[in-house]
Amino acid sequence: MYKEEFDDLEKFEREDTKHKLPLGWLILFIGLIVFGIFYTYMYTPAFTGWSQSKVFEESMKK
Amino acid sequence: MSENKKLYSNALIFSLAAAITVLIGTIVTMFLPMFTEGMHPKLKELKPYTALQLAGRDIYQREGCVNCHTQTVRPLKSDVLMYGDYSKAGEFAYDRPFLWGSKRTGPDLARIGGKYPDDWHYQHMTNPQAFYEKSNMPKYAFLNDRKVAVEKTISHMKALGFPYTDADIEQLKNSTEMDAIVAYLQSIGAAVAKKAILQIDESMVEEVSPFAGNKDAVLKGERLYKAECAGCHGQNAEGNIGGSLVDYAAAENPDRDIYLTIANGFEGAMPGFAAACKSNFFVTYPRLKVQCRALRLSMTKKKSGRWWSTLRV
Amino acid sequence: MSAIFWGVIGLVAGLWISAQMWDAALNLPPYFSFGRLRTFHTNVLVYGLGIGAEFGVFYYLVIRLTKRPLLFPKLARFHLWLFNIGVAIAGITLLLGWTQSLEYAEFEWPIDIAIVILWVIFAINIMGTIFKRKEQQMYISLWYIIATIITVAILYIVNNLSIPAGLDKSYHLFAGVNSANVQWWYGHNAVGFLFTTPILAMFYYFLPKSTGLPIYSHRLSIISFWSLIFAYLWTGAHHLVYTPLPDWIQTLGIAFTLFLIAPSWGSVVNGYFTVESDWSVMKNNYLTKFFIAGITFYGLQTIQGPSQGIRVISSLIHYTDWVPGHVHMGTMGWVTMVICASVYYIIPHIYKTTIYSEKLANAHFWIVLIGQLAFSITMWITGVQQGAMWKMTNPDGTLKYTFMEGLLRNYPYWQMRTLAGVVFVVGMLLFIYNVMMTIKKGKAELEAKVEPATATA
Repeated sequence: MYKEEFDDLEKFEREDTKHKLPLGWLILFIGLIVFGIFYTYMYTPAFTGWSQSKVFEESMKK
Repeated sequence: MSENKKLYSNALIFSLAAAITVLIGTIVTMFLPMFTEGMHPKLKELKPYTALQLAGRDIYQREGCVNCHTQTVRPLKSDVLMYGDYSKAGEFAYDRPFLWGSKRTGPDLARIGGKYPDDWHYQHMTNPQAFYEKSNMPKYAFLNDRKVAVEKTISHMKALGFPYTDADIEQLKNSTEMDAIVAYLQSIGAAVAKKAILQIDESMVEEVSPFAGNKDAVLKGERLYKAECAGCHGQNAEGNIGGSLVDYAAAENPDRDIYLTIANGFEGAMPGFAAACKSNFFVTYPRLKVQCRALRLSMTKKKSGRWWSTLRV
Repeated sequence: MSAIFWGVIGLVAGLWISAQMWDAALNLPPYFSFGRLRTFHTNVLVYGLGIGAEFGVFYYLVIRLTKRPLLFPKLARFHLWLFNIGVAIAGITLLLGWTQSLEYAEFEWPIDIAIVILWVIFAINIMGTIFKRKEQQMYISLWYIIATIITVAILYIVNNLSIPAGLDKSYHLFAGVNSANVQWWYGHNAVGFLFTTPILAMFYYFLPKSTGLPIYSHRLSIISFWSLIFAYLWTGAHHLVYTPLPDWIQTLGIAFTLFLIAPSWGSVVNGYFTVESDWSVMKNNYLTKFFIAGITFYGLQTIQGPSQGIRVISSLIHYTDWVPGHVHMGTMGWVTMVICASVYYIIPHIYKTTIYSEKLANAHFWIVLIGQLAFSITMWITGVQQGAMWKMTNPDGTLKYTFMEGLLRNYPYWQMRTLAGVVFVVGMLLFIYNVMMTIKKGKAELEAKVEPATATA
């Protein structure tokens, strides 16, 4: 019963745009990597001394 | 990349590549940290659970309390004001698993231990709606009728390697599940010293209430009383877990003392309501003044024998 | 499709607890109180409906993509029975209060072992079939299937490592902060590898199949796939923002969570561009609607999710009803839409017939869509309101509202949410009716075909 239902993989993907990456998406992709590195640097106590408890102490002073 | 036919035509290589890809993040964020001290902190004051407390914790898990109650106070001003000091990593060394939860349908419980007297918990667990009329918490009255599973609890203590004595077992035998869960609730957060986030002292409060005789303030006070105080002190202030306020009012305490009692509470007997009515800004911020003074007024009024019914007109 | 049956049970449980949220009298302790039913609801839907449907659909997909029958067809049948018995027993144990209190891993260890056995049976069958396939190249759907099988196995086993203490009780091998870290590494990725990758496998197969339009970009599929499964495993800590978990793990988790927008949107963009070559399929082909709405919700979900991770947003909405709103958009919008569409596609193909009623399917689509939107939107409003009320302070720095005041304001929203849930369930009942009738029709047609054949012979 399976025979006639096998799929032809060739039909699943377009040939003409096979290697294309939409530009907007690529910008998003790279942008997020850059931002991720920046963010990790900024908010890791070992790098910048930032820490949640410090921020908290400051907020309590107000 | 996409030309790499081999990767996508060899299932074994592909599976390995996928496994390695998912393992990198796993190792960095989950596996490696396990071997750092930061993941296994323990406060000096922290003690393993007693047999009764553990039995209570088992019940807490069994009933799914964690679905509605978190057990971690965030280092955020509003969290700390509402619940108390923020949670420290070293408080949880004996928690298997952690019960921080993910949803606050009910309030956080990380600082519940010692906030109320035991009686409060017994009555509140049995019928939460007696304290907060519109509370959505289920009634857990059935815990009163069930005995703690002694053998099971002992085997649990052994599995966890917690110490226990014969006296502990004796206590288990005489305990209901309600006893156990109250014992557990009272132990939560015990390792962290209680410190009042807002402490009001005499110098901050006027001697005589500036709201004496203000009808609006009294009405507001009545509403506040019903919402926050009636559970313990009774619908008609006749006293229940907390003392009778009729008697209290008859004792003619000065306004200032009444105010300070409400604001600061008594350790282990009555929670303070300072976060809801800080006093040193009375003059600058009238809204607050109304709220806090109103609380006091409703009691002052009782003294003169005119209780709420007459005031509602 | 046993998954459907469990779907109904789970949904009813969902409605019940949603009502319990605003009327405590609906709790029937001890077995049917909120604490136990909530766990029952999530687990029966995740394991019964979600995984059940995935088992079924994957068996179907793999056969077609490898061009060979299953390696062990009898094992698959056995697997089905074991699965159904397993879900039933597991559901009962939760109502009995056997729980590890680890979200989405509540089952106690005997059930865990059963689940691992089930998964191994499934893996042997699927992987075996893939290894012995007759088609040289592996299609994208197979990548996602492989990644799902491997990762779920790792996740499930590690997080369920525990110290047994009696048949109904065990204690997490990990304690305190560490326990939290392991749990959410698991918890978040269980969502990822049970609700994202398998559904993407379905999406990448059924979208081109049902529309006849080929996928837009192969390279985009590749980059999305690898970066998705790479980044996912780093992100669990975003569930633990502002907890005592060390700051650096939280920060890393947030950064990777934000990055996840990119690979997720890779699939979204790929789907849109695929259909863009001929938007008329949207009108003419009732299934396309499900897939495109599904991927749209996936897109929204994957923007909303990462932004929730950011500290400032987390501080407002964490622990509120916003989060159930978020979860239900994913499950009711993305997962359910794609699973339903896949079932609509598969059933007529298996029974060699056409769908019983396309109109009914369209009605199902709109009702479910409205129900889901109403549900999620009310939850977001509640969540923001709740979060804001908890946070709001008077000018002197004291809190403006007590906890109870905040709670009371939620009740009307929670009532609306129950209503939205009812709408959604009505939609799903239409779906079930439609599928049942299609099966009946298919069987009748088959008999009709057989009869003339025997008559002439």
